[in-house]
Amino acid sequence: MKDFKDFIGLNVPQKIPTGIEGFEHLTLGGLPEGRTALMVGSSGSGKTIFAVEYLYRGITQLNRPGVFVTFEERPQDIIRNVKRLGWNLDELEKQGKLAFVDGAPEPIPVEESGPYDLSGLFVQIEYAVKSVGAKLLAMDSVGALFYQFKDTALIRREIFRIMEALKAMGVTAIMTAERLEEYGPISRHGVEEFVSDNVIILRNVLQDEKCRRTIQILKIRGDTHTKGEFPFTISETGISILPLTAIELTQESSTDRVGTGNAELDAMTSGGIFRDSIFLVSGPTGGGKTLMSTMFSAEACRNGERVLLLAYEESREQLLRNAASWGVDFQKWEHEGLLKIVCQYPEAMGLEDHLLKIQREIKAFSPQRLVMDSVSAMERVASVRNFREFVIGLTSFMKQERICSLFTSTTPQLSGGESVTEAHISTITDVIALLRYVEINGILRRGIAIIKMRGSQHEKQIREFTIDNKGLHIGEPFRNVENIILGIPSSTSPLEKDQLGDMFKT
Amino acid sequence: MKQKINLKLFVSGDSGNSARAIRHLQEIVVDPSADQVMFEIIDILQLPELAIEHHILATPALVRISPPPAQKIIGDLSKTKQLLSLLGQAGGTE
Repeated sequence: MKDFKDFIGLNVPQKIPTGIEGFEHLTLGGLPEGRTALMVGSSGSGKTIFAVEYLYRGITQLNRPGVFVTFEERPQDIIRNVKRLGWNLDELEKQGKLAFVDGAPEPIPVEESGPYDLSGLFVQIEYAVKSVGAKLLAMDSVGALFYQFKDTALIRREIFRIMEALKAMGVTAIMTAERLEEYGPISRHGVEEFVSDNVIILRNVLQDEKCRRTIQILKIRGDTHTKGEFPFTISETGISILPLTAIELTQESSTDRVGTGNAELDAMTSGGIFRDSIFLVSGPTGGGKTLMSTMFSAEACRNGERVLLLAYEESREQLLRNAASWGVDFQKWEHEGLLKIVCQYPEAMGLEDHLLKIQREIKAFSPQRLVMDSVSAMERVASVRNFREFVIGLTSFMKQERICSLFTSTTPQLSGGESVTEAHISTITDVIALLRYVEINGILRRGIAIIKMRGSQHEKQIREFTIDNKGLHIGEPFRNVENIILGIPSSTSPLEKDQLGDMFKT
Repeated sequence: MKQKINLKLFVSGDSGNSARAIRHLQEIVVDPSADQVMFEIIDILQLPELAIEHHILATPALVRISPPPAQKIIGDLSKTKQLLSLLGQAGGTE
């Protein structure tokens, strides 16, 4: 009988990193060494760029020479296409770190007369691997072989033979193949039937008029990996995968409190919000959200903290003017390097790109606080699912970086009501303040309530507040009014007002 | 006057397909000098550089180097029709 000790020598293949942003996180370490992974995707899903980046990063960052076997484009076309990313493949080729095998169809007529095999390809790959001492290889895309040669059964056998040879040479490879439908059979020509150990799927799905790229690790034999589809982008630095759910919430929570920029609000939150909190301010348009953002930013700068202000609704000039009207000199803080304002139209790019940009801004500026005005502006450029991922990715990143963040969310109606933002964000945020208009006896008044604060006591009453040129002033709790939060304030008898507080328990 | 036909036959070692391709080519081109056909047999296992240079993925492969246009037949050349057409087209005026 076999003892489990007999299997100790049979370790699963070690994983080697690829250098592609986020890929190691997704695969929990990279690709299995000495194996060939199949990467399938429809046309335009990013297979070629992934294959090229895999080699480029491997050669330049991990010092592993590579071979690129191309069955579709000519090597010179690939070299030219990735120049704009700053990847000089021809330079690597000259240095003897990269070799191409040109398997693209020839411009001359080819006839078939009797049986043949792909020994020519085999010999060329072997020669290229030996000439540069390759550890990595990419084949793009084997589907094209099925158009060059008529004998499909033979092509399958030969691909299998090449994979076995690569394994024997200790080369870690990615092989790409086409698929016709995003959620159909794994690949055309059934390539996965013999490259089944490691399968990665790239998708480019049109969803609500927006293109959404995702990557899914279907399987890595004998090992664990992160499940599900993860969005990725192709930017000027190549592929970036955003492993949204992989960020662990393991960091210790802070007991250190910071001011919100408003003394009364600090009092309502029992002394300010925790340094690692995410603070959501929800309110209708013109309800005081931008003012709270401004005060929050000013408070940070006064204490010598750096603030990154991301504005998606107003221009820089508008922000500066608004701040100045409340006596806050943003330009001075900017000059001192404590404030950075980034204005961007939500429509300027996809949400994945926005998230990537935010992460890069944070890495470059390393702020202690961040303001995003408003998160809900992003709703209009994405599908609900896409937005949800964006919000989760954003908040988990803030948590990871321990940035005290204030997000604003615009409610659809003046009197409140829940927006998509709140539906997705409220469970993730630590503190939620609602700003609402309250109509009482024909007069529009403003109300503020803290409806949630993790790990701390907070005031449960709804207070009235006013806005003037000095800022926001929180006054007394409303008396004899109910259903403010629900958006339908109505008078109530003095007896019932005592119940008001109970309605806002979290 | 016929232009001389220059062929290269790429084979891989002594595989069955390779041996058959050589035999089939020799059967057609009995007398290279009389037929004005010149051919060279190249083993890509020995000379992988030539496989790269001539873009050989499949073997056996018969390539007409000259006269133009370039043409290629892959397989063991068991279908003589294609082989003849490759030779015949080069013959020009016939």
